Amino acid sequence: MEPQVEVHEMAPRPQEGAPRGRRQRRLFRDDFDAAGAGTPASGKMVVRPRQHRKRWKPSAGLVRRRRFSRGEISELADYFMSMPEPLVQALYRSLGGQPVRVGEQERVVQLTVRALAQGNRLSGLLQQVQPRDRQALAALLQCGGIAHADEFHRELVLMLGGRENDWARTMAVLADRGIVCGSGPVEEGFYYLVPEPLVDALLEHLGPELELPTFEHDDIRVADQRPFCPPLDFSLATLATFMDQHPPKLTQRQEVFKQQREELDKFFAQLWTPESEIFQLHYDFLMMHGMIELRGDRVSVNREVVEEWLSLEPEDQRDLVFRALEKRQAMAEWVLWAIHSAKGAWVPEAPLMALYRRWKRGEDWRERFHKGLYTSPRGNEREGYSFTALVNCGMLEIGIWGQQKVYRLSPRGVALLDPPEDEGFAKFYLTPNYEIIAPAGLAPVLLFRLGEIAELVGCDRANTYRITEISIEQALKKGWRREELLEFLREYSQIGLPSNVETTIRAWMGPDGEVEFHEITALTVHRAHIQRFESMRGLRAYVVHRFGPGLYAVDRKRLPEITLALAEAGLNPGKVIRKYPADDEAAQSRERLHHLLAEAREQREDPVARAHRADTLPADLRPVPGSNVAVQQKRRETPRGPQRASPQEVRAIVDKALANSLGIEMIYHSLKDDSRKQLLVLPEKVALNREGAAVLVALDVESGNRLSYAISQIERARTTEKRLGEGS
Amino acid sequence: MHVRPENPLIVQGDGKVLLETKHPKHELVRDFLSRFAELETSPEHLHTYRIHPLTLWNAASSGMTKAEIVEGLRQWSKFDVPPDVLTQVGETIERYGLVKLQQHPDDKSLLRLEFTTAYVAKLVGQVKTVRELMVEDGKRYLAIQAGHRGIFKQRMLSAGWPVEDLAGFIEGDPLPMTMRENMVGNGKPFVVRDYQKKSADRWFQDGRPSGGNGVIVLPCGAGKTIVAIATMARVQQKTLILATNGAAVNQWVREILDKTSLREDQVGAYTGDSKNIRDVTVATYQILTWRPSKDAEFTHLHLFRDQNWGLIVYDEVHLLPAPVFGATADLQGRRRLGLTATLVREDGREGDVFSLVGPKRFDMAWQTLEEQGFIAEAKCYEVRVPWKNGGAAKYERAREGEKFRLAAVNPAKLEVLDGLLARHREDNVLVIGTYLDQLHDIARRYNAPLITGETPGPQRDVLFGQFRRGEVKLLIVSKVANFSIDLPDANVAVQVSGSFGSRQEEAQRLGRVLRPKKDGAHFYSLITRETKEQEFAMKRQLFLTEQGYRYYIQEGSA
Repeated sequence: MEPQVEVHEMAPRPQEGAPRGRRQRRLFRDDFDAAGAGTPASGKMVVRPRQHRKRWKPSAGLVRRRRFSRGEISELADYFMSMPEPLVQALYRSLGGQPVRVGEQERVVQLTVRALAQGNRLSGLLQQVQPRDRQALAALLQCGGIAHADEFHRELVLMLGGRENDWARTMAVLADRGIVCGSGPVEEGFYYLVPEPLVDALLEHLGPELELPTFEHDDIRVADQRPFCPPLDFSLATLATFMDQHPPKLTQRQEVFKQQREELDKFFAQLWTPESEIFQLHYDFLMMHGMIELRGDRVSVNREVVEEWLSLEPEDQRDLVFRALEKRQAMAEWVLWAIHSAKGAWVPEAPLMALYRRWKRGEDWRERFHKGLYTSPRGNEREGYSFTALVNCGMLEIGIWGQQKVYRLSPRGVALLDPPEDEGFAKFYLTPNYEIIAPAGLAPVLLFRLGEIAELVGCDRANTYRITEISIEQALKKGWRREELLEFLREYSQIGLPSNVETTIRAWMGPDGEVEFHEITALTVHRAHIQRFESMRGLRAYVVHRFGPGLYAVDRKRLPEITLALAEAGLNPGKVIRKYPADDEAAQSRERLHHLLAEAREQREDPVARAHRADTLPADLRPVPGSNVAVQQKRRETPRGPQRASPQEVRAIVDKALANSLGIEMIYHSLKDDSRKQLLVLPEKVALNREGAAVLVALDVESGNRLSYAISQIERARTTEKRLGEGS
Repeated sequence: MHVRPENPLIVQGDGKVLLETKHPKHELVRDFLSRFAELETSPEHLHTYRIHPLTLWNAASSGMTKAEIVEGLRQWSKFDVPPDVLTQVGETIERYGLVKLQQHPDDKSLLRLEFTTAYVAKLVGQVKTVRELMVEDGKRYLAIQAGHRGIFKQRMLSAGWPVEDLAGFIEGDPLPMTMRENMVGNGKPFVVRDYQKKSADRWFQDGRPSGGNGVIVLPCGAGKTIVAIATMARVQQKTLILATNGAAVNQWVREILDKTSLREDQVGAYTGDSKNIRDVTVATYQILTWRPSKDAEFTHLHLFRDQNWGLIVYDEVHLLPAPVFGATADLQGRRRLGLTATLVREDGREGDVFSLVGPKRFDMAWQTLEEQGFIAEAKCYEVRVPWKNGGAAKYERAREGEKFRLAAVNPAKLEVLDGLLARHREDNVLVIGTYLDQLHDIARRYNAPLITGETPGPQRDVLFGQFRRGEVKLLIVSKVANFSIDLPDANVAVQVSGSFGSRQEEAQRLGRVLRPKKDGAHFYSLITRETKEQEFAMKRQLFLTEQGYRYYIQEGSA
């Protein structure tokens, strides 16, 4: 099978400690029709539009998000087969079947699965259940489908009133219907369990019971409302830019120096108040993901990582944010989704807190169940929870109405959970006075890149940047090239690139290398598979730079991983890494051939011209006999130079000189400067140079140097009486 | 955060407002904004306005309410309007009118103060600089001396208490006049353009005490003189006009006689050459600030008091010299009109212009007038000229203070100038410069007339006249021609040297070629490449681009 993907080694492996090449980018172009060959080498022009699909948004945010494996779902039937027969039969019965008439257990399981597949059968079952029983079932689902029986009864009393015994009976009714099972009595307690494959189906039908109540009133006062609450990626990109341009200095306690912190807070006054937890969230997020790092006593921005983060899918970005939030508030993600389900309405604190408590208890029960602990621990006091951390981080807004506290997602939280498809800002404004206005809502990767080429002078609804000579100098250091930068501005500026700005930037950036060297391990993809390759998110992590569709640079240290990932993705990587040159010996031979060719080219000349040139040496010119000049010029006897000789004749003269230890007087044509020199040499031997040409190794009497002379370049020669050892 | 990208405004948290000029509703929103915000910069596609207390109080004085502003901002903004801005708008506007200045019913030497509440009176009383100007007026009232009116308002403003000045103006001696239907000079109909009429009306406000002072900002060539004539026709009182130089004075006199019913014996010039005080007197700032020695009194400041002027017009108000500021503080009882193309003062005293001449009553972006065809479409070029014949080495060796001048008078510029003049041989070209030696060289090279500060007034008038009539196609001028010279047919200006980074000079020089014409105008600045001159040119370039002009940079070679 012909390989669809090939790896090309285009440079020798770098030695340890060798400096890295120019920064590399990994950005994908969604427009696959774009011409590949002519794309800019950096790939910097490319910005992925903010289009994405919403991934795994919980269908009911009020229950714990359950991560089903595909195996569990597909093996639903196996699951029921493994269940005790009476339980499956009870479920089948409550779904309207008659297990007695079916007989075989396998058939009962088949019919039960089929019944569950018909949503209305389960719906019918739940309609027959009493409202209080449904509430109990919903509570059990909110706990994650698992609950310690005695403690769950107390939870139900706390939640819905009544007595524990009554709730025990309620649970028994549900168990009779086959939708709740038990763990079997061990010592003094047992657990209620909902068969896992039923959970999703039950969630679907228990919507009203699972919904959080909402609250609306005109007089709700929003506490600590920020005037401007942009999406997190906007503020993160802006903060990263600011830190890149003004690296903060840290104290020994790893805190930003007070003065710099004040400047920073002042700059971001629209986003957070001084000493705000919102800044700390941003800072910690950048730090924990390696977007900023400590270098000496300063914080330094790792631009590659920031760009990497900004080019992730929104869902992936969200996962990382959730992870950061979890460090401040356990189950932060669930809380946010739960409040999100209220669709922007205020959610009262009490029911939200109760739900949170059930989640926490559910986690505890699950843990204890798996550890085999069936006895309730002593001193199980009522827990106290708070959502202050999420409020302080700017994810939630807290409203006060009388004594009542209510919560809703802040605009930042909404943007995190429900990122808008398109905020309507595709381009920034570049004005002829060197200012760039970039509204919040612009792709954050664009904002970050603007920060690389222009000074960030204001953070607000629209960030303000200013192009200065210094900022352009910095851009050059960061790897921007002139045409690349101008193209970037031209493409993403609403009004194009003003003439005066272009001219000034050209002058500031100076002449630009139009040709550059790269040391890379390249990955090529056959054109038929480019689209598939680029759409595979898992493979993106391996691409360190995209030169154009089908041509990528990859990290050569990760080649085994890449090969594996490609194979898993169904792309057939070539078995051999193509090398340029293919092998070293061949390369050397090739190089030698080229040397010989060069020599041959150098020696190539018109024999007639050569003869003509050789015969018109000025020293050889004489007046025409009988002419006046001849009469007037006193005849001078000049020693004649050696006779002209062909290479074969030269070789014979040389051999003769060597044999008799004679010197050689010769005219040597130096190709280096195209000059002819009259030399007296004492020959030592004839040898071959590395191109295989014959050379005379001889001592130049005048300079005393031992040199080699190509036989082919000796134009005239004759032996002299000067012998070896006589010296000059 | 609600985002409405289809809207044209971005309101920033610091009170800056950005307006997209290509938006279909641009004109509507611009008119709304201009009532309470100041146009700061107007580069292509994105104009910047600033909401600050002065502009809000100005809006309040014209009857605009907080609700109108807030509603409009909310309606047109792309993002939610920052609450801080809304709070600032509310609190600032509400301050206007809390303190009023009224005529005293009995004593003409006093002006009575009215406070909305006793609490306001108490707060104002706590401002030391203001309190020392206030005097008891019986048991219930406070008052100030009428002569302290200007300084009181200035101090109150700086303390954040805008005074609603309802004390009115001293009526000057009447001067019946009308605007002509046809101009005397060419017999053509004389029509006041809409924006000229509007600016005069906004200034006059039907004679109410809330009007009658303030500044009109219009680009060069937009007809500020006509605005002044229109206001004179509304006031109908004796008028003192202050202009920048003798040539400008003559031009004012000529315009007034050409476009109004006033006779020659009613309009006089008060300059170094002639000192005629008439019903309408046009004087120069220089003559007013002239004094025999450094410690002596200003000899001619009496002009302000010699007549019972009903209106004082300050042409190019951004150039108002400090002594005239002082005199103006005492003239708060007179109607005052400031005219300028740019309120930018290199000394940063825009606030004094506001306090003493009055708030900005009207302004209009240069671009808008250009689009409407009222001023010429101008193209600005910066031509970068290299050094020649060892000039660069000489420049490098020169002292820091000398470098700018050396770059400005780079002889290689003359060769570039050759090319430009050849390209524009059919046009009416002004060559403007700062250094006289350089200008003399240019005048000799092209055998062209030169006007400098030393050129006598009559001779200047003759040369300007010849240029206007097309008898002279190339005129070399020093910086005396920066201001108030009406050369309607000049369509090319070449600036061979300028005054460091002076923004207003750049604007004024460009203004020389902005009178509307068919083929547009060209403005060239010759700059020596990679020198201090280029650095300063960058500042001037910024100013013009902020005004909305396209700026092209060219490499000039001899």
